[in-house]
Amino acid sequence: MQRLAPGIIPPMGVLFDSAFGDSLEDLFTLCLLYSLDKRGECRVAGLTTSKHCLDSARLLEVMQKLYGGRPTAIGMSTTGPQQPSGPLLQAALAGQSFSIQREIDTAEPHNLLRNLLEGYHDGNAVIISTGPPANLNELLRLPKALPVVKAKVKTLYLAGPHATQPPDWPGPVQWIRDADAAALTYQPQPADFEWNPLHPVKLALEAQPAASWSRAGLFAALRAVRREKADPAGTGIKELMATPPSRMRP
Amino acid sequence: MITKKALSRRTLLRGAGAAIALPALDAMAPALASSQLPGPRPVRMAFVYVPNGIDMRNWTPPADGPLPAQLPRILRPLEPFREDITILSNLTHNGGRALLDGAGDHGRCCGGYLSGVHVRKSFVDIQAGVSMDQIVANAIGHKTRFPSLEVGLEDARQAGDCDSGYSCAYTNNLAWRSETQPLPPILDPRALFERLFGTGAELSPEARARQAKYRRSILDFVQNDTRKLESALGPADRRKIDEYLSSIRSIELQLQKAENDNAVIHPGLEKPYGVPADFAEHFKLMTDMITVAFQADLSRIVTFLVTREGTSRPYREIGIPDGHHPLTHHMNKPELLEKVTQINTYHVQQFAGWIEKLKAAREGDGNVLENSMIVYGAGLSDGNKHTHEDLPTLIAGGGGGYIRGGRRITARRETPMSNLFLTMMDRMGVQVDHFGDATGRLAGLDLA
Repeated sequence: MQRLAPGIIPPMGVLFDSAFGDSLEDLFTLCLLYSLDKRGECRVAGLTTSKHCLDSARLLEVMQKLYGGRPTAIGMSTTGPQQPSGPLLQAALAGQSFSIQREIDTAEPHNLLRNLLEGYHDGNAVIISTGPPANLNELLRLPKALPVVKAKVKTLYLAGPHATQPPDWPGPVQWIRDADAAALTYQPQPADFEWNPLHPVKLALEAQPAASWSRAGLFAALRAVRREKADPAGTGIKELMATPPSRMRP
Repeated sequence: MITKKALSRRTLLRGAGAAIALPALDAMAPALASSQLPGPRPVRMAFVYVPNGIDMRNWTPPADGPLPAQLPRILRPLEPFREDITILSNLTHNGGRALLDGAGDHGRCCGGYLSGVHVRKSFVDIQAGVSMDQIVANAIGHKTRFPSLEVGLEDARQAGDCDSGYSCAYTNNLAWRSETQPLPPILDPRALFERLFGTGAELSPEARARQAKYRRSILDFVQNDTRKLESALGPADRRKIDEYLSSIRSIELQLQKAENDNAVIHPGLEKPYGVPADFAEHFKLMTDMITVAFQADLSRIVTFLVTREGTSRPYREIGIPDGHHPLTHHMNKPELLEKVTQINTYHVQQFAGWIEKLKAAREGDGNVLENSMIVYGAGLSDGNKHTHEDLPTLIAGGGGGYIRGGRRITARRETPMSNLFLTMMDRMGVQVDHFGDATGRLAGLDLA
């Protein structure tokens, strides 16, 4: 097992697993993660979706390319019947180009997660899960994957109404409840931020203007990156609010 | 109607200091038609490994499913055998990736190619994994004279640092008997020949010298036995024996020619005795002997390291004086890429020659190729970037009626190469629950 060299702390690897495209919040959470990645605070290591839907994987690919993420395969669950795309995914993908055409253009999520985790130092990766735990359950069933998960994953963060803790998860688990996120005071700050007119999240937002979300996923992303990175006792989110708003442009 | 006692499958033609195994003959089951020889035909497997990746632009057919009439440039020598090959895409060897160990892709990709493990970065305290050929050899090797054969073409050391801290044991071996014990390939055709057909090792050096002086052919030593056997065989079997012994004689002649060539061209050099100076001839000689070994059921498992991983061997025979490895770091320069493609194609040309031979070797109503799984591939795909996904892989042969050829099968991305090996082990009759980083069996390879 690898250990970190003294004094050198590489960015925390973040694996984001969701039923991508079912909720607008997942899109925002991924935007936030990539923004933190750009600031060197974490490294978005891999993206998997438990939604058996090619559009879900395609949107993950579009976001990965849009933010200049590492060109790793997109993991997509194929257990169960194919799921419909839905208006959010269709709106977000309008006018986008992607290479995923068939299931073979995606990866088995549990295999991908195992492979990606093997590339991280012990205790230097987190998993944020905002969807059903299908992919994580499969990961634990994979032969010889349990010791990898145990060694590499510092904490599993669960957020959102569909998140469920996989039985026998071998490490610490942090639940981010909707109530925790709702208790946060959030004051929008004026910023020179403007959406790219073709940004998939903007398109999705326009397609669902009345959609609401709990911000639990966002909270989970911030806590996972900031708390694990620097201050195990802090929440991370307060530090962000206390600092001047930074430019977070795709 | 049964007319006489069946000839034993293990019958040998014997003579002084020599013993030659026989191919499957009808006389081994006289009451049955040749297609109904007892039990299923033995399934063989071989792994032909080429180093430094392959130019994937000229390797991958444009679409899944049936192979097109015109194959990509590198595969074009295999066009006559289109229906006998299956191209596999998207197979990945995660253990070949750095996984925090830094540089050394050549060492990792070859060292763990057949075991699916991430080898330890060291040139002293080596650790890989038991390779799948040895797992199979341990299980079924007792059925043949040699549990497995390890063959190669390029002389290479077994110790020291060959790639950024990785031992030469990783770059220069495919087969691993244990985590720490590689099985170095036989490079000298004569050594392979004597291992397969001769028992000269039992003779004293003086006797060997005497034998060499008077020997015209190993067949001379088994002449009496051959005559006796032929008198008891039917015309079909006699023809089969003739063809078989002729192929052995042909190998002998090639060996003699190679020795003469070396004597004329490189007198006094330390080049191994009997190794042909010409790459294509060396390749042909070794694969001819493997073909005979398959025909005679001397072994069912072969690993063939064409040249060592990371090799800088030039290919002057096709007009390329540059080293192979430096060329593969082509930085997408067209003139360098062209040379890489030429080397890749040259390798496949030699391989196609072997496939032709295997297909021509009759076995019952079919041929040896139909009952074989010959994997041809590399541990890197893009040699320039050192990528370990979508590894260039093809299987020639039907695996004993298991694989439907003439297709390109694309697995999902990141599918472990170990899945293919697990499937092949099943086909060899060796059931293991888990192997390397496998996530299951490779779907779509079988006839179903």
